[in-house]
Amino acid sequence: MIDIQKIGRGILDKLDSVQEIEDDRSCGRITYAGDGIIHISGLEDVKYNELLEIQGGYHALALNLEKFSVGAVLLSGAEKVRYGDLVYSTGKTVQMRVGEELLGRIVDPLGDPVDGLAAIASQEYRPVEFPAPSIMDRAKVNKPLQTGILAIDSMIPIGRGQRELIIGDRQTGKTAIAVDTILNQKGQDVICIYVSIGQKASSLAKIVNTLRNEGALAYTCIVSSTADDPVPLQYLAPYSGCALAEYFMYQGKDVLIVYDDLSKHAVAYRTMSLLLKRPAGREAYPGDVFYLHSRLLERAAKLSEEKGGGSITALPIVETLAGDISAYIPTNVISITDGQIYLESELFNSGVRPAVNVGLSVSRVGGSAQRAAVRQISGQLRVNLAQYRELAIFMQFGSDLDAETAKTLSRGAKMTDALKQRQYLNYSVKDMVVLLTVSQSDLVDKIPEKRMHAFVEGLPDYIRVNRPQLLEAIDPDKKVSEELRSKMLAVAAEYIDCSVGEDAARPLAAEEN
Amino acid sequence: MAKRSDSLAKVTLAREPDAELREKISAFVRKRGCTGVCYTIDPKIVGGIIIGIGDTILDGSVRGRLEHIKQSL
Repeated sequence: MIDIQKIGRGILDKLDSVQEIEDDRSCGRITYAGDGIIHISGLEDVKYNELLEIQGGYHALALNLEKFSVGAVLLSGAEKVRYGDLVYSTGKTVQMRVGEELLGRIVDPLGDPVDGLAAIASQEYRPVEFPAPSIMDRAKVNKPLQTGILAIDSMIPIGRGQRELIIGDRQTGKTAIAVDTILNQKGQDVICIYVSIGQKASSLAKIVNTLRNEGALAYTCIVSSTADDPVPLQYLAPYSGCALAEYFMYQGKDVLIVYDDLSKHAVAYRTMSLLLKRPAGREAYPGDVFYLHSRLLERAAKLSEEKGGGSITALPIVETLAGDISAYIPTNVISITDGQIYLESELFNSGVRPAVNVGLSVSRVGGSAQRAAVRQISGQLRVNLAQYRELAIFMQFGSDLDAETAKTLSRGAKMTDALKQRQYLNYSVKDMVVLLTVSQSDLVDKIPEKRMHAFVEGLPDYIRVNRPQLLEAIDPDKKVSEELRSKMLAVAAEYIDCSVGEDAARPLAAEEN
Repeated sequence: MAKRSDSLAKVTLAREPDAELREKISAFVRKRGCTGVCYTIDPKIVGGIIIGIGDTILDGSVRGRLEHIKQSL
């Protein structure tokens, strides 16, 4: 039977929990509504960036404060608001819901779940716009953030608290690098936040599935704004993600945040600015488009010990058109970040994946955070590869090569092959130490060029199964001793022997794809 | 806050106010810098009073409260 009294009591309890409204609110009326923009007359005491409440429960963000009117962008209800509707000020700026409960969830830029699961209980909020840590609050980047990608961790190392831009044309594997990095943080005590800004819902669904299947969703929160979301929400998404990241950072935790991607963010902001009739500058972006990204990326930091020692590592992604990194947004973001990973479609199409252009990619602070062993053996790598590339271009025109040149060329090609890596196949630091040592030694001359990639992929597994004691002997924080080096080479030689044996038994064609 | 000395306060009530209430209202709005009161009678607000001074609205109507409760639940 239905207990009417109980229901009544429930309703009364709920009514008690309703907060008294502040009945002293400043208010105005909509004088124009269109394209998600409203103009409001009245509302004299409104502040910049204040959240406005519109009759009917919709929200807007006050962005233009003028003498007789206020320009605001609608966060919700773009089709519902009418001319003459009442608009109230709230005295608050936009807030993002934060808390541990958000891990494993997909939320919108206000912290409300969009994954169809239960409501999020957390009642803690942080302002979406928040000042970056001051100079005194910061410490030096000293801990590496392992991406698990050999080419990056060896030559373009990223430290916790660094901002490393991933830049490249469409379809060059930018997101793949970010996703791989998130997957590699499993068990590393790093909280990951993936911010999708104006992405296709289908691409986002694919990423969510990958993260779920690999068990990475447990430590990841996805802040989602897809291409069909209102423009202001796309504009807010990275700041909201950053607010959530700050919540964890100020608890002393390490956070990785991926902004995918900032070119779409700039486009969203341009849309808003043009509709608000702000003056347009280069490429029709408004004058403060640099500040738009600099204030966002400045919030990534490594905090000092007194502040808890937490960090936010930011991996912003920027899409270029036809490889043009001198366009407006790419140059802006390059100058803000501590380095960039430059991906090239030419490399991608010729099978070099990840398609990192080593010459144009740099990391300005990560080197000091690199593990000692990796730093020691990858020191010469960049130079060697550069030499190889120069020689390879030069030799395209010549036909007869002397033995020395041929050897350099073949080694360079093998080194490039060694740096190729399948998606979702992440190497541990110890694997990297072995692979880098072996692929730069004389041993590679024994491996046929076509087998190099298979060799590199197979070696870590071979060691794990057959020679686990070798991995135990490696201490990534110490330099590799001559003795350890020869041990590694011995094991690698062993593997070459048996994999060449396999070759004889199996036709080569079956192995190649 | 909008405190314009030359402005009229807009007061909305559900019923015609009696003399005592009028007196109270004008004393209240005068304290906030208004010179006079402009009354509107709107039975839709059910009860209570809405006072508008400049851009500030003091919503003490029954309808306002009900709507707030509706949104909160």
